[in-house]
Amino acid sequence: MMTERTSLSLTLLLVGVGLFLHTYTLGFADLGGAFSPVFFPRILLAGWIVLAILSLVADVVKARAVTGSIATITQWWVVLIFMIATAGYIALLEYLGFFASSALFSVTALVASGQRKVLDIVLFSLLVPGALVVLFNHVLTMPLPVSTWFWWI
Amino acid sequence: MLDAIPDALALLFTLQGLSVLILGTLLGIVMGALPGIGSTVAVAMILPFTLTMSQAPAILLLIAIYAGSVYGGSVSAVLINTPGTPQSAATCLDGYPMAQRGEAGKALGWATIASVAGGLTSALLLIFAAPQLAAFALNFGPIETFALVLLGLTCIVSVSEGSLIKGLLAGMIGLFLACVGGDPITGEARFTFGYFPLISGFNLLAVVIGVFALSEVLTRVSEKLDTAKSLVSFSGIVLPKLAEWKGRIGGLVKSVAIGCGIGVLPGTGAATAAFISYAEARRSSPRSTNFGKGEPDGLIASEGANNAVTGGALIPTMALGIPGDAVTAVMLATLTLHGVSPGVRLMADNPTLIAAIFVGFFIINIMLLPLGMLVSKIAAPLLQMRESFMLAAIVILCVVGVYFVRGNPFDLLIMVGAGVVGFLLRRQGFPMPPLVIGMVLGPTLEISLRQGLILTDGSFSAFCTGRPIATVLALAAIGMLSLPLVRLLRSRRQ
Repeated sequence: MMTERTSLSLTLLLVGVGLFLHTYTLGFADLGGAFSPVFFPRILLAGWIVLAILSLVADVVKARAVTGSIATITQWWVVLIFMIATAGYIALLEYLGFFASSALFSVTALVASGQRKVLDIVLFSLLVPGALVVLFNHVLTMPLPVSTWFWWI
Repeated sequence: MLDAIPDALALLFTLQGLSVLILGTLLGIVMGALPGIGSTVAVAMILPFTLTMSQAPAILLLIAIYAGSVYGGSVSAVLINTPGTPQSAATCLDGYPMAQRGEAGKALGWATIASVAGGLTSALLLIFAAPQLAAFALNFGPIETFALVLLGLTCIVSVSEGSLIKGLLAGMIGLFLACVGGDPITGEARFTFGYFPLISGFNLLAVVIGVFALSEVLTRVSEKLDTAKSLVSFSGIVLPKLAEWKGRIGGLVKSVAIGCGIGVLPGTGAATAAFISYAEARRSSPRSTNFGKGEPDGLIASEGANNAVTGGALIPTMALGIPGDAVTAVMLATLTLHGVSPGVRLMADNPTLIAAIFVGFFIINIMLLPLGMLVSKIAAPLLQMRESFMLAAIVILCVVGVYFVRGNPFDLLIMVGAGVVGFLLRRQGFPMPPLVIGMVLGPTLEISLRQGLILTDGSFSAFCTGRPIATVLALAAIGMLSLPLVRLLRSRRQ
């Protein structure tokens, strides 16, 4: 039975096997014993594979024993928006600068997590990044990223 | 180490030294009081900001945050019945009932005194026990070091809540992640897949912040976010009178002893110590029938033990370079980032730094009393803050922290990747401390194993023959690993 849990264990097993096989493709793999750079990783990856198999077996047994599905996330969409907003925040950090990208992230994250009080959202989105800009750029004199658009902040 | 104390005091009693101690303790109490942050996330979040500091203030700031946050957890446990840190979960049992009957100030007074007593005793134990242990460990060669790190890694067994297999797998992933990049002996690039930024490996800091702080944010977002909590009436800490201590000193001493003892054991943690101490107090207290209804003995047991763990956990960390729990694993990472190699030579090579840490830890615990009284009143209104605002602020601070260290956008990518992977793994029951412990101890384990094998001409059996210390350490590691099996067999028999 394929559940979210068994899929993850299977993915980890496949990644472990893939990395283990990769150690044989490296040019220096044939160096002897402890001198070989892949000597220690191979031991670890062998352990990884064994543990991933055990984890997969345990998950399959559990999935059979439990009737019904594992509890699902009620707020998947909020998590996804948070993940995308964080990735976007990082992507925009150097282009828009710290203040604007942080404010944009704050608005997105707060609205996604159910906040509806506009004043609270606006105040938080301006005050928290603003306070950090003042602290880092002016007090600690360790500048945060600044964009050509918002250089004056 | 005693010779280094004058230099350590000169280092501590400067404007920077004292500011770091006060600011760290204040920050620790506030962050510990905010539910959802916890000691590990608090230390991980502040870690990047220490990189511009010199070694001693940087470590002291983190230790102050650690000690402060363990105490701070009691503030929210008493005032809103939500432990700020897992260590304070047992504090809720008697703290909140006291607060409900209008004695919040007094409950926090008992908690504060017990915390200070626990912290100070563990600081003394740290000052006197760690150097002895470190002096003994100076005789260790690569083989003994390998056996010691192996023993340190067995703490994964204790920190693997839920599934031991998943905990070990997470530890294995952490060990593997430490292998990515240049080989420590030959310098050859491993597992970089031709991607140049990976040549220096995964940035430990970005991974730590990702798997602890960012994955915590995603986990909390995935659950229903809490609305604002209602606060009981609180006008400041009221310290218990001397007469009220009659018949309770013994309980305090016992809880502190339990905390110190458990703290020294790698991976057991303050939450376990607090519950064991609470259970013991409930068994032995003459007022045991009042437990759970607002009995100060319960508060003393929980807070005395959890604060005593802080110093105890620092003993194996500082003396042997093996972490006592997730927070001390982050501290070892900090030492590495500051160019100090954690390990058996840590105290011998850095006497002033270590003396400053020990004395500083003692001062931090003294400061818990006045700062706790000051901050708890200021922090109380913060407990009503909506969780979504706190989570957004944590993400912004994580981004600032990771970017600020090297100004490298690749580190931010690693942080987000670690956060997402950490979230997915945690969701399926994989504990995260083993991953970080593996990453921190991985390089030492690899180097000591390979050096040992080179010395013994590739013979694994030579690791145990004629090396009593290594044999004892290896047997202890096997014992630690087989503990869960023994427990399982015993529970089945019962």
